[in-house]
Amino acid sequence: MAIYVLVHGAWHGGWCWRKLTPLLRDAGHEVFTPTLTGLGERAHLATPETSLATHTQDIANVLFYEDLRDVILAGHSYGGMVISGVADQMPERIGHLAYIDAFVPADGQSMLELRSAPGASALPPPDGWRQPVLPGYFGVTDIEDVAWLERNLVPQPLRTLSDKARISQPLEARPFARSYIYAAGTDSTPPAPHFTATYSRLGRDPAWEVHKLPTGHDMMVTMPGELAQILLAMTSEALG
Amino acid sequence: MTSFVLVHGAWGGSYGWRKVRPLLEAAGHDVFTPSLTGLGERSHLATPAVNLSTHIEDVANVIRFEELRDIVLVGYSYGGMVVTGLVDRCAGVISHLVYLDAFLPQDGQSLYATGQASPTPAVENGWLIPPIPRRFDDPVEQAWNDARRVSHPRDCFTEAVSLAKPVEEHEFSLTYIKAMLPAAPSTGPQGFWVFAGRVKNNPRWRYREVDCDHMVPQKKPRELAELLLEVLE
Repeated sequence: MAIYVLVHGAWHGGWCWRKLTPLLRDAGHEVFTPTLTGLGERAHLATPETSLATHTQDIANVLFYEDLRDVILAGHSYGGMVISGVADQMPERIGHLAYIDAFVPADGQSMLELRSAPGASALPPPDGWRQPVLPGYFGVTDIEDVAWLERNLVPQPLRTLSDKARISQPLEARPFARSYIYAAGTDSTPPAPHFTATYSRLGRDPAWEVHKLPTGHDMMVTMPGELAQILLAMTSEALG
Repeated sequence: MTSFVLVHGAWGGSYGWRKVRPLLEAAGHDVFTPSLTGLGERSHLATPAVNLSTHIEDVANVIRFEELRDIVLVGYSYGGMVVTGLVDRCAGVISHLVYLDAFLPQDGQSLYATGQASPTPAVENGWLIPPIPRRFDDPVEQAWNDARRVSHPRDCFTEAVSLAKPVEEHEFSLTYIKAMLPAAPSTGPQGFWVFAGRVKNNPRWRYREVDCDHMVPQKKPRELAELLLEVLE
């Protein structure tokens, strides 16, 4: 049995993994889908002080309190910022670090810096501290899925996006395995340039294993079965 | 498939359900075990403003964002305060309400006002109540639990719950599970026996007993899972 901890992206919550988690659990694994402070079911806890450090602690605490080891720790999109910090703080608890169309920061980089979409983030949020949900539905086109996202996406505390990642050692210097799963997009939902560049860069690096799926950014919504297959393959590796 | 929502007790966290979760999942159910704000994995979010309303909101939001229907809602110990506070908001999605060796407050009562908690609690920093220690036979398990048991924001115990009508007047089923062995040290004047006594002979309630002290989810997970699955029958 393997242990998965899945960390959602900006504006999302633990709810977004709902189509994926049964596929991992039915294969006999334990799955945790914590919601980051200020988002999803934790929306009532958002404050202007909610930071990347808060979110990193949210997940590090799940690993400590549940006493998880050999974890397959996966982050989607902004979740990549979070899992990078967690893996830096608790490398001994991580078996495999998996980025799902996610940001892979170096020390000192924030998500806003990494996102190569000038203008998108240039407007200050209307209330001064929460970034409204980005239009576009994250590559989701199915009408029921779009409605699902519309019901549950909430504004993201801005500080979490502008805070710089703190990473004391390069991820490649750690003993855990590393994977990147790229959403290559479709005709109607093209890939994001930043993630395309990250996928190309990591694909040339033997310290990384890379995958791609022909779908939009929220692949846990649009291709849960295919994504589950990739994540399940990490299990057999982890078990050797 | 049913969704179980399990609400932990004072000073506890999601981790307390770790032995119960896989048993309910293996029976084909979805299991949610949120940690209440300021406790367990959420201990870094403790502030003096955290109160019973915060914890009610914590669980109400799990139900809303996970879009749960037809749930078995379980309150353990202090969690009985939280699940009672959820009834007005979430009655429509609760199919079964279960109290596990839990506080069963009436409208307008806080945990302290039930009279069944330690009457003179110590207070740390003016707003944190230090944990009542719990005993485990295995020293490794004792140390593991001690490292995870944190102080509890005081206003969770002083804020009153509101109930528009008694829980018995709702449509969901009602179960009370009483731990038979004394808690050490005692939970309060009569512990949870007062609540058990109130429901025991009421035909509206299913009453069950488990041969264990108060730490049922960690010490008798299999028996507890069976009792929780029984409510679905």
